[in-house]
Amino acid sequence: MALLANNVFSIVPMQAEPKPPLASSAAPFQSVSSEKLEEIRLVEASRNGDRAAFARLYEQYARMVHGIVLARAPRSEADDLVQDVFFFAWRKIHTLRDAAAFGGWLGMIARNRAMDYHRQKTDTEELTENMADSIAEKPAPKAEAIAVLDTIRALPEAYRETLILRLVEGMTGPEISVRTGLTPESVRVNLHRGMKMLRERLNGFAA
Amino acid sequence: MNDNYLWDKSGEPDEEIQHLESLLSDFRYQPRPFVVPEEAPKKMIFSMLSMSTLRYGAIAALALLTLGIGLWYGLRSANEVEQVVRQPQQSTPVPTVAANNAEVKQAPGVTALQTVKHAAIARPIVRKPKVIKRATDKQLELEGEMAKEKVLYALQLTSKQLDVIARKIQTDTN
Repeated sequence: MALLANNVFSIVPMQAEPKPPLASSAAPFQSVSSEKLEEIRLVEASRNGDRAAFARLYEQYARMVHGIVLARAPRSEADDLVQDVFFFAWRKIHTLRDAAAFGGWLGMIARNRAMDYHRQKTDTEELTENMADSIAEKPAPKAEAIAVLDTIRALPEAYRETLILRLVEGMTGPEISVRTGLTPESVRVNLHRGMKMLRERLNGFAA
Repeated sequence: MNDNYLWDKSGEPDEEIQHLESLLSDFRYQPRPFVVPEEAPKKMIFSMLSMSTLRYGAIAALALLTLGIGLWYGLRSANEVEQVVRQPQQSTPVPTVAANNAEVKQAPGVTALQTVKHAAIARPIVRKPKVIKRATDKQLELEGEMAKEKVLYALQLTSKQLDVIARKIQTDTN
């Protein structure tokens, strides 16, 4: 363990409370552009092997990746897949030509990894004490919650991903747009139509 | 449904959405420490090469390919000429218009002029002798003449040498 601690760079765990929206509806462009510039800087630094910069990107994007993975893969696999996605992204970040497209690129990796989660893993990670504690502390979800999540996962792909990011991960519409690279209009439409479809299906089950 | 609340959590909260949020929060991402491997991102060969280098390389490869094809075609045509020179001229009968017209039978009720016109239209395309072949004939003639001259010159030399030997014999006997 000591050897592992010397060889790797670990970051402080994120705060449990979700971060405030990246872009408020009042002044979306200013905050988005400054956020984007910072992100581009982090991506370029990561390309040059800056591990601290990549750890910052992990902090910013872990929720999005978790949501994307949760929309496709089993719940039990989601946490491991998030780690897997970031390992893969770290190894392949030199292939990303446009630093501004990091979110979309990472989302694509997450979708691909979630699709073939059952494939034999080649990369393994030693379980640290903090990680073991975080898994053990996770309470068992309610049956109703499982039923709702399964209903969302049965929706069309565009709706299910956006709804999970909004309802499960607690991200706002503008934040989803900035992170995934989708236009705000697309996110808004997906949220609205997805929510409408979810209501219909949940009411259908209730009846 | 409150669209603003669904969009950015602003405005009056929607009870149903709030209920779903609290219900589904069990599945929310639990922050975990991520260990960034010490190993630096792998470099690919192509990433190290600039786009301009790749472009020039592609152009050079294309030029080499064109040159290779040109050389191959040139050698092939040279071989064909050589084969034509070596092969004895075959006396293949060349179909003529007259022969074709002779084969065409005059149908009943059709005038002779019409038959001739049809025959002229229907005649097959006659292969023209290749230009290369004409060039080789000339070449052959030149080569033949040169060979004749060489043979004559050799004969003249040998006759002169024979004369010299005969004179020597005569002087020796005297």
